[in-house]
Amino acid sequence: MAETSQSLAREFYIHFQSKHAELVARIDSHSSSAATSDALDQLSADIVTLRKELTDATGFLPSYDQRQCELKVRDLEAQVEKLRASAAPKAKFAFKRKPKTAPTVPTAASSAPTSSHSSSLGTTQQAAPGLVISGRSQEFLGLSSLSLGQNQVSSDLTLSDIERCIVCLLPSDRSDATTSTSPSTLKITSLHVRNVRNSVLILPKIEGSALLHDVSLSVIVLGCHQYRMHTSSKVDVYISASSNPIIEHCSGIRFAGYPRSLHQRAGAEENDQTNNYLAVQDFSHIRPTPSPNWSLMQQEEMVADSDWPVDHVELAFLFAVAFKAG
Amino acid sequence: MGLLTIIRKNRQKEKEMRILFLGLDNAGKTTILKKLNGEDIMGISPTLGFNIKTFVHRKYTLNIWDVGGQRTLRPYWRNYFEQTDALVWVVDSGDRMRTQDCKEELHSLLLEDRLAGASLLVFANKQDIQGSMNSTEIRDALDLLSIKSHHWKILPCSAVTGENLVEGLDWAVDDVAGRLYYSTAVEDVSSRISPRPIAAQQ
Repeated sequence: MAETSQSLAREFYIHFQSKHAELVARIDSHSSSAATSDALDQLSADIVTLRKELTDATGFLPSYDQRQCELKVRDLEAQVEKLRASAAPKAKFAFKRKPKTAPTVPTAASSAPTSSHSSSLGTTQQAAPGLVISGRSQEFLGLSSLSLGQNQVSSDLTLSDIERCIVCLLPSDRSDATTSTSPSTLKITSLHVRNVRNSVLILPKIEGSALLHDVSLSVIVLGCHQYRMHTSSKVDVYISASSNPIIEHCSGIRFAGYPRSLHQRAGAEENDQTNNYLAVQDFSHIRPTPSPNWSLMQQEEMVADSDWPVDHVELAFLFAVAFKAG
Repeated sequence: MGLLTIIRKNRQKEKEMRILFLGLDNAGKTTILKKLNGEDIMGISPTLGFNIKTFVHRKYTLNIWDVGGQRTLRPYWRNYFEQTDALVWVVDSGDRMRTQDCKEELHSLLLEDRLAGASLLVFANKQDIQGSMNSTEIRDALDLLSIKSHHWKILPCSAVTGENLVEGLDWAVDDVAGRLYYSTAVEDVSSRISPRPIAAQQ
């Protein structure tokens, strides 16, 4: 019995060696000239056959030889793969990594990222077909700044690379002030925010979740279902959320409730008692002690309910004052 | 414990599957799970730690582990790899800014020895939201076609509407079941852990 398997092994080994040599020769001949895809397909088919034979031989082949043969087959496969790549450099589904788009805001470019984490997250992808406001500075941005299609009133919203701006996406009170392009009922179903500095964002109630990265020295007003904030610092958040807001790698975040005076315009009910802003969770501080990274605003620190701007004219005025002073 | 008890217990175990839900934060892992289980999905907070759900799907008992995806929690994912039959990777299809991050996390998971035999189901979640990427875009963004080490499938879904959730689970269960039956027919159950026991046995 032992002898038969030995002879079988020897026979296989000789067969394998000759096949292997033949395949190597073929690969070499292809590497000098451009290989056709037909030839490559034939090559890989032959390698598959060889691998099959090797698998069939595992019953009698000593484990050391199995491993050696396995390695050789694998090497062949790798070489064919390399040939294939060089023959057709534009493979069907090569994943293209987009070059990092430098922040379009000139003032933001000089200042360092707010934390070390932001750099690893920094690859920004191409613009989204949802609603996008990106690369703005020193501007007032209202509903009319969104390139809203006529029927696109419910969508994902992305805000990125915004510096020294006021963004107010509440529907305006005055029907005569609204431009014809801005539908009065914009429904945002999810929010992604990245890289916002020295800005004020006033947003309506969002149906889904809000995810924010790299926000600093800003004021945010929003209502949402879930709130996640990452790698941000020194931000005041006026929020109405139906679950616990969370922060991670943040510092100096202050929370308060959604301003009552804006409730009606934001499409939120006055008697909305699902406010959990008290129960903020800091994922960077999972301990029983209170987190040093966030606090609740005291009454005197908040913008008083009555002081929130009621229309775009007032906001635009505030904007003018703020940036003349700053 | 008699022999019969041991056999019975083994039988029981064969009908059990362990499924691990992972993905970046805000992907909707917990929401999918709650929706599948018929629970309310409105008051879900971001997951700090993990959730376990056990339910019977067709004739199998599924133990589903849902681990939080916040960056600070990702190092703990490894604690849940052991004995995983299927990995469900959930993606927020509206999150274009983190596709690179998402791809890297997924591909590093696939290098894990302890997940070597697991089937991979990718849920392209939040399809109900206008402006989301479709499953082809997600497939390319995550470079799924380069995956040769695992059986995988991608499905567009929505945790809010429930679209395709059960279909996804069906695929995962079928894929795992096919594998389990094979290995039990050839050798004992313990071989499930090794990645390629089947070819070597023929």
